[in-house]
Amino acid sequence: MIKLHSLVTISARKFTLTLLLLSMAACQVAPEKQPGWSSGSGEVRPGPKTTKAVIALLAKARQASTRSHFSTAETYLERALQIEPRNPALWLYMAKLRLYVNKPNDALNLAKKALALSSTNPRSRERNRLQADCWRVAAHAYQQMSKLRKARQAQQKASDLLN
Amino acid sequence: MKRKNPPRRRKKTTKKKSVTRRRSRKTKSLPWKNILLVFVTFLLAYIIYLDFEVRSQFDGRKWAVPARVYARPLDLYVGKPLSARQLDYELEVAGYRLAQKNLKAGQYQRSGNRYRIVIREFDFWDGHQPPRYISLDIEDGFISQLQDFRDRNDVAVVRLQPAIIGRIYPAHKEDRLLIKLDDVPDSLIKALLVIEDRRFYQHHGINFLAIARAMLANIRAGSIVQGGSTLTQQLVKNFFLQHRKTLSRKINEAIMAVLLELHYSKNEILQAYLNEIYLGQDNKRAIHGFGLASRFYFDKPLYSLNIAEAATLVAMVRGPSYYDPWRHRSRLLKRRNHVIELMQQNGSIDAEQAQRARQVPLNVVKRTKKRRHSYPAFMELLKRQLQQDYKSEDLSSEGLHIFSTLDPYVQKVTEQQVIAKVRQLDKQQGLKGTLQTAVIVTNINNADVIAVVGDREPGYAGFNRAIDASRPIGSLIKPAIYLTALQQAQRYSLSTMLDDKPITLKGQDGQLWSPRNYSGNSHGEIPMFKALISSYNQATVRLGLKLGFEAIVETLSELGIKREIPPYPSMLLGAVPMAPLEISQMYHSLSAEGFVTPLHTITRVMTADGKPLKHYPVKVRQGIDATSVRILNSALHEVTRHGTARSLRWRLPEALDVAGKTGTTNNTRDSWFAGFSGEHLIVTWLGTDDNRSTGLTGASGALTIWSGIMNQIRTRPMSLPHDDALEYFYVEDRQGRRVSKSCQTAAYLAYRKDYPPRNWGDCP
Repeated sequence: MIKLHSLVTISARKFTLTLLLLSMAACQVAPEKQPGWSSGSGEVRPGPKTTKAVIALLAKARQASTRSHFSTAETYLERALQIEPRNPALWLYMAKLRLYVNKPNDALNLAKKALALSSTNPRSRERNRLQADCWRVAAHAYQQMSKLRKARQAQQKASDLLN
Repeated sequence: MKRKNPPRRRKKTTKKKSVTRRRSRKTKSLPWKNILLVFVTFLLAYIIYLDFEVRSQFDGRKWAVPARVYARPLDLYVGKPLSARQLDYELEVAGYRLAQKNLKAGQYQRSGNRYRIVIREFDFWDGHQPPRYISLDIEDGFISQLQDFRDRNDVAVVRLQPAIIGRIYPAHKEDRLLIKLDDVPDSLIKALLVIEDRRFYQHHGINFLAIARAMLANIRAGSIVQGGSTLTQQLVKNFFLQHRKTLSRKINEAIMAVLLELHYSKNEILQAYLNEIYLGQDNKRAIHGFGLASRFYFDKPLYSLNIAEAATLVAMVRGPSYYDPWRHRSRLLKRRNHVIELMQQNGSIDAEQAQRARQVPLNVVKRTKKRRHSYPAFMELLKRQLQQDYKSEDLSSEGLHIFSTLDPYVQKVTEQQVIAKVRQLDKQQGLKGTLQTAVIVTNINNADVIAVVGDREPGYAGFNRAIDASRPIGSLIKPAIYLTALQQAQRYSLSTMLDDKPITLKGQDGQLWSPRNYSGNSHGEIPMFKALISSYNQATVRLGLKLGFEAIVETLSELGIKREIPPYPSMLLGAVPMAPLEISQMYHSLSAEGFVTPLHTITRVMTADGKPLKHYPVKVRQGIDATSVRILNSALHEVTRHGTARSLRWRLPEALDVAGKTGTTNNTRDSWFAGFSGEHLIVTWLGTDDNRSTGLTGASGALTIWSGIMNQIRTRPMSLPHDDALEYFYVEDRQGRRVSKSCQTAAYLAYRKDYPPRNWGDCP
């Protein structure tokens, strides 16, 4: 049991690392509505490009998570989420971090959040790729919870989205 | 002498006599011996008792360090929406000071919208952030440039160290920052020893020479001008004894000082002294120890004090109020220079150092006369959440660092709006100062509660209506009813026709109940969204009866409502009491598209020495599917365009899309508004504590405070997201048919792709 468990964790880590780059690319998902900003004076501005800060935070999160400092990585992600709260890649990354620390239920819920947010991305290839990632995280989460049938179903959804 | 006499007499007596005499002598001398024996035993026992006392107190000494509660740290990055006014305020509450040149940590310069800030070092939960030298520009309400002003490199993102927004004190309000001996600058220790206890490293707790010298000096002066107490004695006095000057206390002090020296090293005693000594008063807060004194008087960490500053603190030891740096500047300056002189005589510093130190002004920070920022309603909510995890004595003594979610600027804006609007509405309605309010502002993204007001006087720490006032919620319940319907995709869309005819039904007590629309009119057949945005009671009750109470209660529970809701028909019109906090939870789940996150006020807790203790991580649970909630939210958005809250169209900037719902209870006893942008959820309530009619509806009362806050804070518009299952249409409100975009009165609403609105209709 322990062996199987750790195997799952290791494989989860491996695949998460490879997905990390994907997440970083995907974090530039365009917002679904023209982002006007409000202020007291009522003027409207085009959306500011905040991605530089988010990318810097993601890089730090990645550094921390490769050193297995998962809670530090989470800190950076929390800050990134403050800047781009509707960025599904950030939620997905958060989900992955919870897989690392064996919190499959949290991971599953966060993956669902990422899935819901990614569904608003009009670019279908990008959306499908991210949603496939979400389902894979869900599959791993189900596996950690020993819900093998659900894990298989989730894995199948991931494959379907990529085909 | 007396004792020697009897034996001489004994010699002259006979043996027999001597026997009797011996007996009588025995009986005579026994009391003396006994008394002596008792005395010695008592003394020994007393010393053992004191010894036990000294050791147990010193070993188990838990410095009462209050927990410090911090605001959320402000992240600065290019593109961050931030006004100069907000930044100024953030800097003010974090204790930053304007300076002209040679910026030091905790200071900033401003010219126009260009800032230079030296951010103080800070121990965050994820590590130490050294001082940062930041220049930033604000342009059109955003940070447009962010650099390190020393090397001119761009900075991607940096945190402003968070402001302390409150402390959780033990009863006596002692505050301190614990330090280790290694953190203390050499000059401070030298200064301390030279003036307070020169032979500290030689004596055994008491310095008889010093006492004699002090007595002599005092006799000469005719009053007490010098004390002969060693540091150890002073520590004992502070540590264990009351501040009464009696002989017995002096004796106790001496014995305990010797005992302390027996058990502990000089350095241990010195460190304890440095942490214990009283060094001033900040209103009700007592400043203890050099660590906090250094922060309080110089806004610097202890290790960075120079000779003059160290000498200043040492000079104050003898009498922090007598040598108060703000009230008795020259008196303190004189004593400080005396300390410096002694240091020079003693060889601790050379003549040049002494000369330089003497020339420096006192340099204590300006005393802020402004009102202290206190947030009683927020702090109370935070304490309640803390008490789920911590004992109250730990909170007031363990020196925990508690990182909260409070946004000082949003809190300030909220308070200002509350103060101004409640006063105005109260006057307008002739309520004679009885109109009360509660407001909660929440960050949608992470369910952080960022501002709370529980009284029309936000600084008043009384009844906290935001948490404790359970009031009927009126129409605020309606979104839960419509959401219950929208989850049944095959049966309901926003264009489903509902009947708004009058209805009569049996209430819980068997009485007949005939809910009426607010206007008193009925509207016949209308599309579902129209009933929601115009808040028609009759149509809603009919819909609710069709759906069934259980299904609606289930929806409420999926939205995070924990309270048990009785399944009676009056529930359909919100005859359910709830606190603003619960409403915030429910509407947060709507704003987060069906994902439930318990609202919270704490993100992290750290121990006094900076170790992470507890993390309250981001957690979500999908309560209701995102698509159903998105459809509902498109209708709640219409509430603010064509519905009961349509005044928001002119109250808010045009591009700021928001969604919300008004609530008014019978006889206008309660006025509610709950609504959200893309970033903030605000719930406002108005009413009186004795349940009087206020004459205010949700729209004419609570909404005005809500929009005042929303207008003043920087927030993102709500998104009306297209997902793969959704499509948006312009729809007219008579039959729910599609119309063209150009139709002025058309509502912009979301539908499931499989169930779009029927046909095209005419723009009414």
